[in-house]
Amino acid sequence: MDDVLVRLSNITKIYGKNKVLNQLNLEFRKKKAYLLVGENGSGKTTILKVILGLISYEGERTITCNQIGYVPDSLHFPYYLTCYDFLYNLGLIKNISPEKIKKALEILSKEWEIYPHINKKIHECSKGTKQKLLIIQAMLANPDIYIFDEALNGLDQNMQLKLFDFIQAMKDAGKTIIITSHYFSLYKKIVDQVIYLKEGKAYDQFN
Amino acid sequence: MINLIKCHYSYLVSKTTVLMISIVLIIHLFSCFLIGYDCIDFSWQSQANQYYLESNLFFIKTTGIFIVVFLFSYSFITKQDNYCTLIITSNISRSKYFITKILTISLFLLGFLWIEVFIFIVIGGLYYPHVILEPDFLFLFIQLYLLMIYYGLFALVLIQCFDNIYMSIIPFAFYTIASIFQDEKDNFFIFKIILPTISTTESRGNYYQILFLMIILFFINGIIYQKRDF
Repeated sequence: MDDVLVRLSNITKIYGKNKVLNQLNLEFRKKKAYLLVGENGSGKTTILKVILGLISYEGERTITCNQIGYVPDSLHFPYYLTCYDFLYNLGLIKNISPEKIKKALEILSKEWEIYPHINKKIHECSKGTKQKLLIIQAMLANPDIYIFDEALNGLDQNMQLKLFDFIQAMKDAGKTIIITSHYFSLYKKIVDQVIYLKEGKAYDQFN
Repeated sequence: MINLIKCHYSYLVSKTTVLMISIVLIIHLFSCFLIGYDCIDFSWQSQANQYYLESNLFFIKTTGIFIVVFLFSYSFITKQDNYCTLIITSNISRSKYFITKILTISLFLLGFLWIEVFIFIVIGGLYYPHVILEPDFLFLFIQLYLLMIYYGLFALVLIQCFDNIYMSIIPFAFYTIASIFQDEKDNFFIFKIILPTISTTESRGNYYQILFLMIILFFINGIIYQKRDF
């Protein structure tokens, strides 16, 4: 049982009159990739927000790791900042030394093909580049858990494949990956467990 | 903490805020010239000084409250504040995030008010090279700064509860009503306690009242932010 990084016990979340999560129990283990699927409003993003501590809920959440790398489905970016400054400042906020950030940014920006845009203002960048920025910022602190909320948004086919390779590599490196998506078929080769959400409950996809 | 402030600042300086503040400052610049021009008709310099100060204070108060209410509301609506998800998940506590954000907006407003005061002094000086600025004048602007923050925090309570930018109209409307009734001596006592305003005649009058109300609102906002869903 030591390999459980996140445990959600009897989690209930109600928005207005809508019970999105109903006495939900889930465990996320080391070296595993999980895919949360379900219809719109089934509670995929809500589960992520419970894990991240972004919303209030009833029930118990236990997390045994220091850093979480979160890739939200969308983000409001600062208007006048360049891609480099945005990532550099986030690195400092994550308590990473300036030297390490510079080094990491040089490697990651080339790997994720944003190097030509790194000194551009973010508002001048495409949706795909902005999505890559979100992925890179999540990698900066080398977290134990990666959480992707609809991570394929705006990524072209090459970058989607790159993301799948990255997920596989992180899994092999002992990280836990949690993904939400509508596209089960795209992820089926790399995920270990598919969790289907319906009416506030979680089901194993194959049951 | 400095990095967090830098981060908030980068979000605060958006196209919309820069446009709003530039418009207000340009209008203030022109209105200062017009007010100064009107002052030439006065026979006594003290009268002209008083007119220049009162007219400018009215303008700075109104536009200042408008800007502060807008900035607090705009910065904290969920769509603009969703970068907190990246910060809070980077092991930064909600209270640290909230305090640094309020601090950033307050420092930004201090800069804005400083430019307003600078315009007031320079344009005034152009018309009256020997103008004497009494110490009370500075206290008045410190008081105005606190008043601006108070109404900003008032707007923030509404924005956090309803998450609708149009809610920012309410504190501005309340401030306008408070200004209308500020000369009433006996009536509207409770109203005057919770909705303070300032004037040139009682420059140090309600300094502690505004400070006290500001601290209360700061804590109320902090508590709401701790429980807020993102």
